[in-house]
Amino acid sequence: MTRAWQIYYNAAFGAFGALSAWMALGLINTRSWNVHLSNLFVGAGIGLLIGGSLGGVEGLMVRRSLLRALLGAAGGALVGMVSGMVGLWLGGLIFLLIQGGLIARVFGWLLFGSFLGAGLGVVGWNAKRSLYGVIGGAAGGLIGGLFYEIFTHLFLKWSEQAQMVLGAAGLSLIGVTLGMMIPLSVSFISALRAERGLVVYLNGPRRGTEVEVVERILIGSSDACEVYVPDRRVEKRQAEISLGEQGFNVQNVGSVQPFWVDQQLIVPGRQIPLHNGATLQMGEAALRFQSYE
Amino acid sequence: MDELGVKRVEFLIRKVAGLVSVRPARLRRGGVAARRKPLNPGVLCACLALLVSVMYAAISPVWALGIGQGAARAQTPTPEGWTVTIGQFDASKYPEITLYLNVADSSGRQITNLKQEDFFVSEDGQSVAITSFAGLSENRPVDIVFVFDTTASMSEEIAGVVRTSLAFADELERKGRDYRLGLVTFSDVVLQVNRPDHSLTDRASEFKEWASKLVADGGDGEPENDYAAIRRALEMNFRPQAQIVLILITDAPVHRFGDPPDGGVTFDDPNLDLKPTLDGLKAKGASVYAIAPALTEFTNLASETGGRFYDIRQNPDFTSLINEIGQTLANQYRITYRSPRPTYDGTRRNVQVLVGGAQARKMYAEQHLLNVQSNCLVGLLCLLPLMFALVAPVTVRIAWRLIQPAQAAPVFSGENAAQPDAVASDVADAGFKSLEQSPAPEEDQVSCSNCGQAARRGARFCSRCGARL
Repeated sequence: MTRAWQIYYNAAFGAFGALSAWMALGLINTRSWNVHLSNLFVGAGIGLLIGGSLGGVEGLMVRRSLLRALLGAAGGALVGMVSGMVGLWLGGLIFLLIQGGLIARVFGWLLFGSFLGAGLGVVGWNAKRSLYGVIGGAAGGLIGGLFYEIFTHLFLKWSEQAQMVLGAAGLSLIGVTLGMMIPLSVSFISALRAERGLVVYLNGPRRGTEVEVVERILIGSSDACEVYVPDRRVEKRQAEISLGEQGFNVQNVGSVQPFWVDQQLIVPGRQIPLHNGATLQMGEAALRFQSYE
Repeated sequence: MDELGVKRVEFLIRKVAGLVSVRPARLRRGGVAARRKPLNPGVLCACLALLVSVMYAAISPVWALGIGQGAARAQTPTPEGWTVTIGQFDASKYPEITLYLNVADSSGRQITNLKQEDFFVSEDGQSVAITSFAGLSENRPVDIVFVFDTTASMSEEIAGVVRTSLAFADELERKGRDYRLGLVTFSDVVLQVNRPDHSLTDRASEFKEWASKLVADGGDGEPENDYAAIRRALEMNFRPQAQIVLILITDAPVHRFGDPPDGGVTFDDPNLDLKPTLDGLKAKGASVYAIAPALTEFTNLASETGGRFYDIRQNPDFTSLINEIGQTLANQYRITYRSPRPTYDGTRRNVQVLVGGAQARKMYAEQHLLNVQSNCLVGLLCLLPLMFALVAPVTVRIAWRLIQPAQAAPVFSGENAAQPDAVASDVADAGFKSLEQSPAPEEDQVSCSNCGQAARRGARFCSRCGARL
């Protein structure tokens, strides 16, 4: 699956989670509750469903591992619930402090999106991914908040009906942008770097799937690896591609199995420089490494 | 278009989509690449800030009218000289809004004979129907708690309260206000709460008795613990329909959270601050009339709650201040209306009150950052295209595979790998001649039914064409 399709599916799943949250939460009348309690509840609900939805998409669509998808969805839902709850509560607090208006709305949504994004990044136990999540979430919140505020005022005369659609559209937008921006921000941040790489599956069911290499990635038969190669002849953690001073290197981090890089045998512990277009052969899987400068 | 041309177009599309580097990939020779200058994050941030500013400037006229002017225009003199003042403003029961108003003539004398028909109220330019009105002849319950600093320097003020308490209560009664009175005294700690069961008295004589027993003592070191006293005052048993008023009387600054211990009293409660105190007051719909030094805390307590601030050091005639507060409270009109736009959209609303040519404005904001209100039909209409968007690509891909006949893949060679513009698809079907030459573990081999490539027994996919074995 190419990066474009990954972004597409992330966006679609994000929107799906957000719309589900809107439908489920809209059935409960939280509007008459205390505003802080309402924000905590609604934030938790939105975070749960967007987090669950986005947490599962990578396992389902990229790694194609049902277990990883379920684990991702559960982790995403749990962390999303907490981060959404805190995010919307804090955003609501800022909104009350500034006493509404465009700045308050945009800032409130931005905070909500950032927390949600940070939470989803935390699921991967990766500080970098959390940073990407914050950037993606902040952008999603910013766009969602602007959209919500502008359209609320444009359709002020039909406020009752407009609120119905705007809630759905605004949340979908935050879901789409959050889903889209997490993989996009990886590309964006790596574009800021002088060097970056890409690993492409050349065969098997994941053929064509692209995984971006920003600093280091792991390749192995454990579905926790960024490049997941489910093959009995590949170790759980087989190889690590990392960016060194002279460019990218690949190292066999396994304990028994060797693999090949352009017909060159790489035994456990050995590290070699990796050039653009190098082909890695592990078990049945063939991977191509591309580097950009 | 030849093969190279197709690759270039494909690369161009990917470049435009921003999914690959902004420059074509260049093969790194000898493992070392010529570095390109990275994008400047500062420029990107500046562009983003510019975009937000332009959007803000573009859309602000949509709702800019009147916003932020409400508080400033709370008092507007008219040619006739009448002045209408919005005192307490209670939006805590939104969409039901309650206002307390005073109307005075040019000499400052309160106008007390107005009726509901004399008032015109509008919200965002839309006239509203007044659902409840209480003029001076109607019963308007008010619960008043005196929050009194009784340190040594306050002896004159204590005597003043004792002197004026009966007149204060009489004025309220005379104007038909159904009052209850309470008293909380403090220094560095809350000293006394009358009554201990937190109820208020409806007898002015009982209140006077409490006041006359007060002794100005202690408080050798400023400041005092006003916030704790206000919190205790808010715990009184107020009547559900009553207007809640706190009259804060002090001549010292206020202790806040984090202050060093004073007389053995520590200030480690985070609620001892302006923000939580204001939150507590607003939650109860209480207003504060502060007779205190001219410090930000006291002016904010009064202005934020629709009360009034009096500088204790600039007004030596303390009793006249108490009388003025009594008159203001006694002559307040209460208007309740339902918002003409009762949605929970988090927008700012401008309220305008017109009476006898005089007008007053007030701005308030609905409190919801996000309004979630669903509808099955709208949900279904949104979910259907989304489900289609999720399922369609997979369906199309499967259908395409069924229609397209399998094609033989080009054989991988060292030259292919060296092509800088060779993208993934180029070698997607690459076979590995090297596999046969490499020291892979020996296994029985089978061949792919699609392309004939040799594969190990147990392999699930062909390493050349990717077909399932």
